[in-house]
Amino acid sequence: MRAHIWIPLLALGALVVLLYAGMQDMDRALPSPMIGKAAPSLPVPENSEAAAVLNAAQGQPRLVNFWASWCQPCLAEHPELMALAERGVTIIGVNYKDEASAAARWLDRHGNPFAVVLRDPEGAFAIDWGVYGVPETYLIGPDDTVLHKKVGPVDDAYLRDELQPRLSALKGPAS
Amino acid sequence: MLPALGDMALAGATCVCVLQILFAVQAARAPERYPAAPALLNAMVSSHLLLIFVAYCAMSILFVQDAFEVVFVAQNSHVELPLAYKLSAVWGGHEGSLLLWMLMLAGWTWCVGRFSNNLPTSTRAIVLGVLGFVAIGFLTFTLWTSNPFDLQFPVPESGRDLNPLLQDPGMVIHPPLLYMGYVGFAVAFAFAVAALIEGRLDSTWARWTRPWTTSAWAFLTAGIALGSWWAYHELGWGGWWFWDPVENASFMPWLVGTALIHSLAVTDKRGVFKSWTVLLAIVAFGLSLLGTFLVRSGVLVSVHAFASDPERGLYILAFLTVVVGGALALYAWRASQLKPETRVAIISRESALLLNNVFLVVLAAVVFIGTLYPLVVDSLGLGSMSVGPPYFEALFIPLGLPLVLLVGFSATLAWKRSKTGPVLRAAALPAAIAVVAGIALWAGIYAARGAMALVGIVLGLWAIFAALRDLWLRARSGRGVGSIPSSLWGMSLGHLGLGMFVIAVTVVSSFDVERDVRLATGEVADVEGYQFRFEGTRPVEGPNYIAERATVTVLEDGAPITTLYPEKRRYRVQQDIMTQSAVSYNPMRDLYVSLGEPMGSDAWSLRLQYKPMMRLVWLGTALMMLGGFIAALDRRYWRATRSASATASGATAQQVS
Amino acid sequence: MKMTARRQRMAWIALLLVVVGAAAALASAAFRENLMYFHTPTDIASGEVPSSTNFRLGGLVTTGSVDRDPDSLNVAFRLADCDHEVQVQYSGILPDLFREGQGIVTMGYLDDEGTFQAQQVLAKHDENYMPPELAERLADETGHSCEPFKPVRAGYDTGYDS
Repeated sequence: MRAHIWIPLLALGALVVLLYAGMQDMDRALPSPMIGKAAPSLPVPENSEAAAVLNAAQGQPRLVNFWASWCQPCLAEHPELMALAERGVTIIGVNYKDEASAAARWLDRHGNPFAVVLRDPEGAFAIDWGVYGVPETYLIGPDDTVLHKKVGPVDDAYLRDELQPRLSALKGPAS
Repeated sequence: MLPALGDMALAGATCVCVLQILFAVQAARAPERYPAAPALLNAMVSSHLLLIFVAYCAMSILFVQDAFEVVFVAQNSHVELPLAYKLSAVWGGHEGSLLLWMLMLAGWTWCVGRFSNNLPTSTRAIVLGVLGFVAIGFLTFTLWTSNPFDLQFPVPESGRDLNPLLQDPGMVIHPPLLYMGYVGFAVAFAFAVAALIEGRLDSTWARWTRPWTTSAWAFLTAGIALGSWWAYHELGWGGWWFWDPVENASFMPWLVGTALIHSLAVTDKRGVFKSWTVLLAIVAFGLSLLGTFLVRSGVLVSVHAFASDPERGLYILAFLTVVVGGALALYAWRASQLKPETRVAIISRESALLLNNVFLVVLAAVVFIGTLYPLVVDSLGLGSMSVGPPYFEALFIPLGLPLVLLVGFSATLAWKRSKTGPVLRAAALPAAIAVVAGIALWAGIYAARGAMALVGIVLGLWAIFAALRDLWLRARSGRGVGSIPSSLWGMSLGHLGLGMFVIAVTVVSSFDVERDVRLATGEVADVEGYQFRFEGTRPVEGPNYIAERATVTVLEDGAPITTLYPEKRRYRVQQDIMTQSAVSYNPMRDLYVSLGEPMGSDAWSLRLQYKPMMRLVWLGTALMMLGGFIAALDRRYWRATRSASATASGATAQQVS
Repeated sequence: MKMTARRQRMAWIALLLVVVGAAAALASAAFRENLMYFHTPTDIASGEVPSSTNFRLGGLVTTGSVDRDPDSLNVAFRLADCDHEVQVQYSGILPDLFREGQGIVTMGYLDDEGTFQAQQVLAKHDENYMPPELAERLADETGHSCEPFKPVRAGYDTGYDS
């Protein structure tokens, strides 16, 4: 008889279910066979300055980021990379299948988060790393093994839930 | 130091809240055993407010000091940012806006504690307990998912700057007012829950709730109007309402809140519609929470949305479920125990107000469906789509105009049962004036174009003249203007403002003219009898931007009437390009010029707009807001409860709502 | 004229039904007319989009495709997604962030020649902003950019100089 007084509650339930469904994002984690293995080789730096930076990064935790100026998601993750770089994280940029001039202009315009930029115009090195496409980001430990891989743009949640804990764990024992 | 202080203050506030709830539960169960309960609860509420205030001040000082080690400061400020915007940048981002939200909730709670001495101890305890529960929800949300005091190392040299769109005086006060409204509905909600728990849904409860709800509604009105004002001036292209999901998110609680303040009047005066009123109070606050959820969850994307994060969305959703779900379950349980109500005559003020409620709630449903339907379709995987503004317009005209017609009858309809004759006789004069003046305005100034425009103008004028008649009738029957109670002043002002708003919206949407032109230096474009002469551009430099400023002379019949300086700005830090429009206004029209882009040689593209009666849109909403505040001040609400039971029966003596 | 409680209740319910029914009828009509679907150039190429109905078209502005008429506000450009391009015609002021390589959304209809006649061009006040529907279609399911974008994004430039 008094069933109608339950209508508001049912409506709320339906709404909550709907909103919850709306929030579910596709999980984009892809397994990588590279995890735990030694990091593959990187393209040869173009000058001695870059080579020095690359050498200094050996034995340190660092990120290797594959990107291109034509890649839209790379632009989306760019502010996160800038913030990471500002906090002192070493990021090695590998410019994937791109024109050198376009890449330089892109970095000029948006800022350069990379300690060093290496070029992979043919995508040959990307094959060794198992890159599906850009952007992809690899976390390399001090022992030069691949610790973690992020496919697609780096975002807030990834930084907080995946990267930050791993970086802290790496820094922890050293100090 | 300061960040730690802020953290501690927030943690402390959480502890105080827990105590407040526990104590409120005790005091509500056995009020006679805790004679000191009111004083103790007040002390907790005060210390809660103090702690939140400390956290808020700490955040403000961090902004002034350019403390970029705080992530939130670094993301929303910059050394070059002017001081006023540094202070307002506190609520320019998600984390800080939560601080503001909590400060307002603490402020409202404090006011309830301070000004509710006329309430029974148990009711007061429940109200403060519920408010404490809401506060805890937001405190834990802040501390867990979005702490504004989080630090980062190493410290960046400079911040990312406040979004240039938010660097505008309108945007500085828009969010605080909006939050005042949202949070104010929490008070109405708390009163509703208290009434349900105590099983005491009566006119006394309605009278306690009314001033709080009305002032919350007035704040919300002001907040929405300012947001629209901001969009009009700052987005640069002359639009003032976009039916954007986030705008809708604030508009839904407003519509339901409007229904609530009218329904409360009936419950107060006649003791009917009780369960409906209490349901509206719950829904109004539920929609406020939903608005918060939509802005922060990333479910809907819009210009206003904060950087979103699914975890935050999930938390708010869970909170919404617990708070509103709990209240609705309580409602379902209690409402079934209510006695059937006395019947309502068809021709009476009650029934007119019920009809008003039906229309308002249907309008809220229209907005709700239009806002959430794309989400349903998307989550079912049926493709992406959006519901265009014409949908809302197509529905608001036929459903909104009857409401305006109804408004004019509000005060002459008697409570309980009204005779048709006197009501119609009282309506004759204002209706006649409205029709004559409306036709004169429509045919005289706007060349008799568009039949719908005439309907809108006449109905708006009808609301205005009917409101003036109400004041006049009351002044004549009582002892002059001084004898008019503030509730009638408030109601009449609100309805007058609504009438003005309806006319203005009708006119501006029917008769505005927009022209995109290409003008070289010295060239003239004509819009609705105004000539715009482009005099060229020159570079100028602002505190944190560089700009190209154009000079446009406006002439009417060959005589210059004003000079406008629209700008194209580039903000240095974020490198955003912004169109800064220039507006010349008087009550009858706005002339709105925005600078497009350089078109080679010395020519630019410009958008020239003639927007008739644009100012009256803001003036109308300002009057509505003012009406709300004045009505909330009515002495009747603040009188001690001693006479409460007596007035319930003698309510009809005072024929004013 | 006496009304029983029952008849009164019936009158109220009838009134409610009228208002709600009218609202529902209006709403469904307004809904059908104003629902705007979002399409990409690929959808158009596959013939999924009927001509002369309004819809929203999203894509990236192809590098080098923007052609402004110097004497009027007419502008023509191409919009691309991963696989296809569409010619767009517009008259009016372009938004501040319109530039080659930028992701934008336009509103309009497809004329008989297959040119998209835009009535409105939208680009948000955030250079990283992508309408979510567009971002979804510009990336494959792993979140990567599709490579055909290279021609669109190469030669990316600031466009506006004050």
